Amino acid sequence: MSRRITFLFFSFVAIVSLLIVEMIYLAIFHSLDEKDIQMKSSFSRYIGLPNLAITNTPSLRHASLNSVFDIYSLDPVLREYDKGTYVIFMKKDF
Amino acid sequence: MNIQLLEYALKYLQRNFFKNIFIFVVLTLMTWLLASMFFITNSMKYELNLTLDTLPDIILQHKKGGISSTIDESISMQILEIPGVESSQPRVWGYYYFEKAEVYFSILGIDEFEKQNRQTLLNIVDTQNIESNSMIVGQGVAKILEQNYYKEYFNFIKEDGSVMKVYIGGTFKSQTLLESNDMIVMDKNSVRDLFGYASGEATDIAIKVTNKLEVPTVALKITQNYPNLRVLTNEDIRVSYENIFNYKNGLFLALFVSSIFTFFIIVYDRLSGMSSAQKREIGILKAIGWRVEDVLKAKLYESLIISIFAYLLGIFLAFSFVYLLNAPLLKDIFIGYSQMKPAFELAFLVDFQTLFLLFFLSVPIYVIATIIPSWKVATLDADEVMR
Amino acid sequence: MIQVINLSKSFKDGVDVLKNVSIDFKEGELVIIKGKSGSGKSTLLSLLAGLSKPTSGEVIVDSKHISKLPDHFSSAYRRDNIGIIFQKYNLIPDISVKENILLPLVPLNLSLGEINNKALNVMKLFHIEHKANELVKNLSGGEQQRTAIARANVANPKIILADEPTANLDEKLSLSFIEMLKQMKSERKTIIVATHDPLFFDLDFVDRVIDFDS
Repeated sequence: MSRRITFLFFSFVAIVSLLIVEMIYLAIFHSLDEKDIQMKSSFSRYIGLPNLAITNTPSLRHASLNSVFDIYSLDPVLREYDKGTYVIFMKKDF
Repeated sequence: MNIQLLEYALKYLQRNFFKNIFIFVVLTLMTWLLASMFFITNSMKYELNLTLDTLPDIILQHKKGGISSTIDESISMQILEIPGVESSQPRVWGYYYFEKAEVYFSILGIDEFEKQNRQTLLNIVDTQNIESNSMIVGQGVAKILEQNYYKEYFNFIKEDGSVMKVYIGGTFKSQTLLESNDMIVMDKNSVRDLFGYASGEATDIAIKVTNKLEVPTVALKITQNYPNLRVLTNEDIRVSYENIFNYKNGLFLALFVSSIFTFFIIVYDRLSGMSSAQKREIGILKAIGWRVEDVLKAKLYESLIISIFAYLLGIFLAFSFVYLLNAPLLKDIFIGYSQMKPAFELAFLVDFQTLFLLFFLSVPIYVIATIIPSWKVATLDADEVMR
Repeated sequence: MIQVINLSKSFKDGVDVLKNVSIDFKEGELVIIKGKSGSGKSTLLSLLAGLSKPTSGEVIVDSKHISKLPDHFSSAYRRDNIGIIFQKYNLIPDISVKENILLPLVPLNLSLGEINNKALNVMKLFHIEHKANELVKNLSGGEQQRTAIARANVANPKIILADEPTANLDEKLSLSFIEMLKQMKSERKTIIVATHDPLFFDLDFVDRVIDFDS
């Protein structure tokens, strides 16, 4: 094999290996372990309120309980609704 | 695989070194940016969906004139009579504005740390000794209070302007940071007092249904019996979670447009034809015995080398950027600004759908853009091309 | 070996470059096709090589109907049987002499050793081995010519077609080319040269001269 092809081959192997090693490292050290997940589930079950504490503004904090949570109204799925949409869809079938 | 054709393709890439490096860099950047965006939103959605099943199956709210209002607690007893309902719990919760720090705390009232819930509470709190008249706070709350010289207790200002002193009994564990950072949990009666709720009033009612498949039926019955109530199911929350970052994705995509634009300029340039030197070279190759498929194979190798390496490097950089460096600047687009932002690490997960999507958005498009003009030239008479 | 039967070629503007040409070429023959510019010599070679399709008529090589072959097969036929020396050489200027010479062998997927051997042999034969790694654009006219001839011979084809090979050369280099022609003839290749250079018309080792003007 020529030098170029050898270089190509080893570059490809190197980058794929780096990627795999990185993914394994991240899976071991940066993913949520069972204990973390249990803790979060326990908290959520105890509190019963949705959404994350990445915002504190009342209109957005537990946004999924609001009637409007898409502040720019960019997506039809998130249109404002008074009754839950799931129930409305069910209602139409009766 | 024809090694000699691969060698030719490599040599061809080397001959147009700077142009190909530019294309490689643009493709890598585009993959990195797009992948980073997907990884951040996937991680956030993963965090959200982890606890979705633990939330109540149905939540009842009351609105007066379209504006949220308190709900009559006695409804919860009536709801219990509906077949299939396992529990119906009126909840008292809301937001308290701490003016000095200009932050809102999210406050939830719990029935005086009752015995059946005590063990659960002890599992998620840093302390093992909780007094009944104390409050448990999130780490963000503890930090804000401490900054404002409230280390052991806090003075809430009630509805009537009087002060309510509550001792800090403990903080929620760091593993719950994303969920608990701004939260305060204390005795329900204290919260009622704080928010000025009359006796028999609640913020909402949380309902658990024994058989999850019965949730829509129960929700429908409630809607029919209580037309003035807003019925939210766990499914509604799931749908909102799916779309919760959509508008911010839109903001991000506006930034991303410049990369996509450059990429499509490259694609257009490739598709709109080759230079006369490139055409002549293909004509010469045909004349000395290369078939159309040999020419296309060489072009395929060329385009695959650039696009696959760019994809792999882009993904590698995205993983590093998002999960090792915690996505500086980019994460802020999705998290936004807040006085009490929790310092958290994005949880790593591999979403193969995202990886495949990114692959198909970049590699085949670039390969096709390279092969089509080459095919057009290679199928002409060699004589015509060389002239 | 090669039969040309009533071959005609017209271009899109309606000009008849060839009209009902019929010639036979025997194996191992060296044939000079002489004629003025525009007489159709280059077009004939192009049709013999399968580089273009005739308007009517046929080219048959060893019982194969070359003019009717689809592109995939005509390229393969060219690769296996024909070496072409173009008027302007048609070398790729940004790659080396050796890489240009190897080009016809690339699609064959031979081993690196085999390819290098063939290239070295043909470079030695045509005295260009000392310039193997030089870029073609840096070569003199004569060196480019030798590179083009070496490329035409690397796959050891049965048939060599040369279109105005000395058009851009001085007398010394033209004579040098004639020497190389002799060498190729000694290997019993069928050689067809299209030229208007009078140096070729009276050579003793030429089997036939066909005058396109008449």
